Amino acid sequence: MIARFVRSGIRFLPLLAVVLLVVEILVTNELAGFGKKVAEADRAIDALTEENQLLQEKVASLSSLLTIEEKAYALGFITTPTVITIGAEDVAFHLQP
Amino acid sequence: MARIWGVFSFIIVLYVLLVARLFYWQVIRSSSLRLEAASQYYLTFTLPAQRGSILASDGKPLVLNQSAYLAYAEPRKITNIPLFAASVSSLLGLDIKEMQALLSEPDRVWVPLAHKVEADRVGTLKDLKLAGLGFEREPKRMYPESSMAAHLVGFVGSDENGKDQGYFGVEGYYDRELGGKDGMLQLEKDVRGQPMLVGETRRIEPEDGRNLVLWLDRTVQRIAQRRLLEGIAKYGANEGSVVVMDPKTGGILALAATPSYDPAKFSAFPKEVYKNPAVAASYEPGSTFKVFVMAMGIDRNAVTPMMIAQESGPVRVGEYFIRTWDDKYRGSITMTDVLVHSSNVGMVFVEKKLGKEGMLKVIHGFGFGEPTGIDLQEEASATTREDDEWKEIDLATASFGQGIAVTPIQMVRAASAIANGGQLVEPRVVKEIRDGSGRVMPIKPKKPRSVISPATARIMTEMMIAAVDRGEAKWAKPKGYRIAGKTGTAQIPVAGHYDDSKTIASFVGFAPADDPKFIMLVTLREPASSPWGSETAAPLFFTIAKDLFSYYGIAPQ
Repeated sequence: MIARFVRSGIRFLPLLAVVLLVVEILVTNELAGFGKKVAEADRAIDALTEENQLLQEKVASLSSLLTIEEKAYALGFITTPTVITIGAEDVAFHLQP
Repeated sequence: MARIWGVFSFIIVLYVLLVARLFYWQVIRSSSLRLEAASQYYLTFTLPAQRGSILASDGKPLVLNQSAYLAYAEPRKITNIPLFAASVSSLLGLDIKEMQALLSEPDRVWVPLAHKVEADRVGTLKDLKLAGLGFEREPKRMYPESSMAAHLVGFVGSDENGKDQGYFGVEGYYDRELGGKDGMLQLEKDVRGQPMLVGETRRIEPEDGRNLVLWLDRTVQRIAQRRLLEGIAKYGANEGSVVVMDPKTGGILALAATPSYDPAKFSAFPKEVYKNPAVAASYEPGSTFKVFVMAMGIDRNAVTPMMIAQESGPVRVGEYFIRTWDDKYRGSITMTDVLVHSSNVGMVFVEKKLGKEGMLKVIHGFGFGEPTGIDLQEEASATTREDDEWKEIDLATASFGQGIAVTPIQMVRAASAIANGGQLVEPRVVKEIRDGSGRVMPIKPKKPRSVISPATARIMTEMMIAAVDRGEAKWAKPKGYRIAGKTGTAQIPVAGHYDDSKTIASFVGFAPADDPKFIMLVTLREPASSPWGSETAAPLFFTIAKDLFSYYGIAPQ
């Protein structure tokens, strides 16, 4: 009984080998494609990191005091020549009769 | 028998030689052979860590990394070297002939052309599509606020291996934290030196440098820098510095010094300007030192604010005569008036009351002659005399700030003890360290040591307010504010004697006096318009103080 089962199994071995070969080709092919995707993802990460850094540089430049000052002057702002401090007793609310 | 012994000895000697040789190869040369073997099996790449940023107290960057590249050439891939050199040299700012010669050298397979080339120039070069021209990422430092706080920040240069290294200021002091740790990628290679697809791979990820958050306030720094430049031009001074500190925490809010440099182009400036004069250069403080002698006198009950001293003429100390700065003598004056009129004769009176031990307590107690511990690389402290070397005349002149050297940061720290109730704080530039995972590590200030009692600090504050309100600089003081301060004018020692025409003018003070928001020291070296601190450094101090009152929204008291 067992010997017959082994003999029939041996008969199917070439078929099994062919199936495994096909499976290996398919998996390898899939993996090769997957590697390409990983490489593409790596490139995308690099590009986004680069872009992120450039944007950070731009934000830093635009929010620097030098730039803000230049823009403020261009918009017509001037440095306050004198500061007048109004005490709490001077405001209209306290001046009411 | 002798022959047998001979053969036996010969075999033993051979055996010992064999063991020695094996020991040499397997123990002594073991590590180098392992490395040699590894170099045959593996390709190793460094994964560089990104240097950390330096941020102001509001989180805005003072220094960050900018995209930049190492531009290199591979001569074997270049078909026409003269054309290649002509196309690339002008964009990289290189000499065309030198470049041609470099690329034409035999056996050169890889030639670095320019370091830290900005992204826009690299874009232009890439558009040329030249064979043999390549780029590798090599970030460089970017300074959005230009040369703001250059002395505080320092700069990044290269070490002997060409790696980035911080020099001076925060970049130098925190080089390890900022620099991070480079990673490594090791790939097994085949006989042709190509990486093996199924080979062994070892990867150690780089640890990026940490970000530093400073106490520095960009606006206060901007005000200090701008006003200092205006002051230097107005008073014709050679050099100057402004240090603004929070007297309660020791946090440095601003530090401006002139002459300065641009950290992005540090190599274009003379090396002498790299060091921060506020922490590395010493000067004779002159009359600003009087407040510490007076404070110790009051703290030790040697004098009181209303105690009378006789200022009837020059006072004799040994073979020398000590005069007042204006050679005018006011007769009986109180200790408060000694500070108001900045009387040298009055200070000798206090010094006599304190004695040598009391004077040494002034110097050691207020931290003169020792580094403050500020987190800046180049801090240096002027040495003071050994305790047993102080002579009578030395103690007398030290009482009014001559014959003793201090750094500006030592002066600010000492004066902050009067402003904060008697505690000698440690000045700090960095407030906290942030790592890549967002973890924040605050830098806690060291426990300050007590120098004078809170009661003495209050009395001294009132005396310093009187010195501002009734002293020589009262004309420049903003009206309505309680500002405690003291002017100083010190002659500069030149070749063993004091030059009458060359002075260092200074003013140290804090405001609002009852709950100080800031303490500030202004120094001007050799002002041309007037040698006196009351006519140069003091008005500059008050100009900056006015700006700070507006910025902080502090109304007159």
